Amino acid sequence: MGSDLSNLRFTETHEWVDVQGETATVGITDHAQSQLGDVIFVDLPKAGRVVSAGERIGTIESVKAASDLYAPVSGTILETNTALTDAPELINAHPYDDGWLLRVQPFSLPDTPLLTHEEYETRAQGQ
Amino acid sequence: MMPMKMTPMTLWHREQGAHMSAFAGYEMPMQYTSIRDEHRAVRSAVGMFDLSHMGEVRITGPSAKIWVHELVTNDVLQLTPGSVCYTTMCTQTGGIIDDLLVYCESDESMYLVINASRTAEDIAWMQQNADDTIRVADLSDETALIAVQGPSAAAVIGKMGCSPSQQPTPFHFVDMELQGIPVRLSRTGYTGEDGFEMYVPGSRALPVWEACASLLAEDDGRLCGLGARDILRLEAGLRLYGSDMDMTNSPYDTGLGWTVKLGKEAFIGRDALAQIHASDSHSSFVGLRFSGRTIPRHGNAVFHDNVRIGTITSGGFSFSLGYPIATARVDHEHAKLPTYDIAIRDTVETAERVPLPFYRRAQTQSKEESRGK
Repeated sequence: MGSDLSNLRFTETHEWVDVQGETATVGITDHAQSQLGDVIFVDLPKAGRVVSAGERIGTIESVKAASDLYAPVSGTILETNTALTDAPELINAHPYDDGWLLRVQPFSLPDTPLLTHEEYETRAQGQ
Repeated sequence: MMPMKMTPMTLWHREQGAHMSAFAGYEMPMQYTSIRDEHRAVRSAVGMFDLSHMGEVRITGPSAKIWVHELVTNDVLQLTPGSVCYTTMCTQTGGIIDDLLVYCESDESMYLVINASRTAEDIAWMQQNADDTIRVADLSDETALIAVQGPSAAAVIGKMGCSPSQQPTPFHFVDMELQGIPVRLSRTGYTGEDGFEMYVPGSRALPVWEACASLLAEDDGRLCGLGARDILRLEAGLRLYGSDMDMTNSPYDTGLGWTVKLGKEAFIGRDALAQIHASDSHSSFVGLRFSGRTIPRHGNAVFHDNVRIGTITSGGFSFSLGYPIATARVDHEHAKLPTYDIAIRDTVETAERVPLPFYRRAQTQSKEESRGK
């Protein structure tokens, strides 16, 4: 994945998604982790669950607040990042790589319009 | 909108890349790197905080000490020059106006440290209750406050030029020069660790801050923001005005009955507080331990048998203990339940009642402290 964000797509609810072939990796943006502060727990959907784009699928508990996680695409959950159980701080330290949250097998290509990195940054700064 | 107030260190914090946030009208550092790491530094080594938003008031007059004794709920007459006590200040009906530290300078001069969010109300209340022999001076804008907290705090203060034998014992203070700058060095804090609070003239504060910051690294110390401070104080069972108490609560509702000395002849709120104390109609303040992965927050409702009996006043994740903790105000008759149900977002978590404080530092403390007993 690396730190090249130009291949990622973003939601207005601060998720990023990286579609590689049949797999979409999902995480939260650097802006989001910075606003949340230290992440304490993540509550993620189990593998096999079918989710719809925009559906609330999990919770991120930080020192400051609990924040909902929304599915950026529709599809089937393939796996979640088990490293986060013992090290939720990965989300703060590496939101775009080691701090990824889950992988989804999308039904089709994005069914809701997703934002480019530039579009996301413009909107996030306006908030 | 009023522009945010700055402390003498606000620009310095910004340059360090701290996350800045509005707090009681001031632009304050919430965290520098990570609240988890800053918290750990204070528990295991030392951390340093800019608390210059806090308010300072000097009361002077021939009977200043007696006047403060009658203004607040705790026993101020037992204070000797150089000693400090924690107290609440209440209305005639027993509502808490603020919680504060009282520093005894002399019978004619007392120094009060109050919450930033309450400065205006506190000073108005004091002036309203002062006669023409009492002078109430607001020193908040000209006074900076730097806290150094943690097991290595005494070592850092030693390197600042105040040797262990000169350092005040807990709940005492000394006025001295540190690196040529007049400092009130107080052995107090809001973290549950050994530590110091330094009151410095605002115009001279930045050099003290910078000197102290440069010494921190030698002792594995960290700059800390208000985010870490909030968790530290919650673990230590210390109350936060505005979250754990306000004008609608008495000290008894907040577990601060020990700060009310009903044996005192006269003080503001005495009759009402005596009545509340005798009636047992007040709420109780309890500590709660959670086993789940949901973090309780201020305002969450507390239930027993599906009946609402209280409210979470403060909640968070305890890094020291590894589980979520909270304090709650509950009906007096439900003060001794072993467990409580807390509605958090869309779930209900059962929490176990535990004694306060949640965290107590190991009692193998420095010799300084045992000497103070």
